[in-house]
Amino acid sequence: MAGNRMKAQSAEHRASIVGKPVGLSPVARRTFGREVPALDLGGISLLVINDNEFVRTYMQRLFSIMRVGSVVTCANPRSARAEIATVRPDIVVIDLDLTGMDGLELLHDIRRGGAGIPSDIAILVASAYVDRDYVGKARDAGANWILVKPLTFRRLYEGLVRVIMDERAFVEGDVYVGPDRRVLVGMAGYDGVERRKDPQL
Amino acid sequence: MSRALRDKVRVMPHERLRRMEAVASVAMLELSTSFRRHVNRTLRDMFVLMSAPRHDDNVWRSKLHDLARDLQSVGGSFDYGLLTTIGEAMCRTIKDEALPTESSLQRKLAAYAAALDAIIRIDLKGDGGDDGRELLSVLRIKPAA
Repeated sequence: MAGNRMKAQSAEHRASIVGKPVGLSPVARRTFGREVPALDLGGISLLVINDNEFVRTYMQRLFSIMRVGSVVTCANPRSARAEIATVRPDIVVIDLDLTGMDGLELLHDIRRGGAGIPSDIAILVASAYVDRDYVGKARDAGANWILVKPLTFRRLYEGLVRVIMDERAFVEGDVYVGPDRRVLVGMAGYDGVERRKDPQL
Repeated sequence: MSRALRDKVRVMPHERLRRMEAVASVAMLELSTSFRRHVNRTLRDMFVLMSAPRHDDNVWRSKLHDLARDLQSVGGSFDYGLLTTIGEAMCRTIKDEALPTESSLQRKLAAYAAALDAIIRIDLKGDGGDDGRELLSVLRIKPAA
């Protein structure tokens, strides 16, 4: 009974925030723990870097279903470097399985301000592997989120929402530039146990 | 960092997201048909190339490498992780100039190509479970993480 009442309230809250900016909506952020927020991505521009034409076309199709504002694709980090300052994307989506070290260097350059765009731009990395060396390196190079393949609609959408809702502080140090690497800190909707606040844990 | 980015998006009704997902699932069916067509075409080109091996020819190696890399790329994206793992091993092998003899290189490449073909024929998705592990062990490839 109580559960039903809570559900009803939550639906009411969600209805009341439709159309409002996400930055002003704590309710939308809280819900991310269990449910991905539904966001209109029409104002967002993406730069997708993937060296496979078939996958680029496939991703473009899914992003168009999501109604992402604009999508520019590049076949490799080299052409991305040439285009990035003109495109000025909101989010860079890069496949590290194929671009390897070149991709990491691009991430590094973006974070160090050497790519002609703001160094704190959101970066979403896609990879088929979760514990390869370069995935750890991607995190250390300042990626906001690592998206594990396969590239389904749901995973791509959730990846974009993750980086949009990422509230972690941006760290600019001598050794590291990027979002705070303690991944759950400030992550929108984290509803797990606050271990550091509970002396019992 | 993401404050400006969040200001560019608006919350929309969940119903709209569900509708998008429904459209995407129809599109995915279409796309998986083109995926299979694409992979079959790549495999066919690979077998044609391997039917007239020229291991000393850099152009031949480069063409074969591109085909293996293509399968490596599309595999993981479409939940055929084994295509990625074996495609990657094949790319490494093609680049490896130090293989002891031409026949050992040819044997290895033929085994990889046959395995890639089998994965699509029997629709071995993801890591392939026990069958996938067995396949990788026969090919002496370390399973991907």
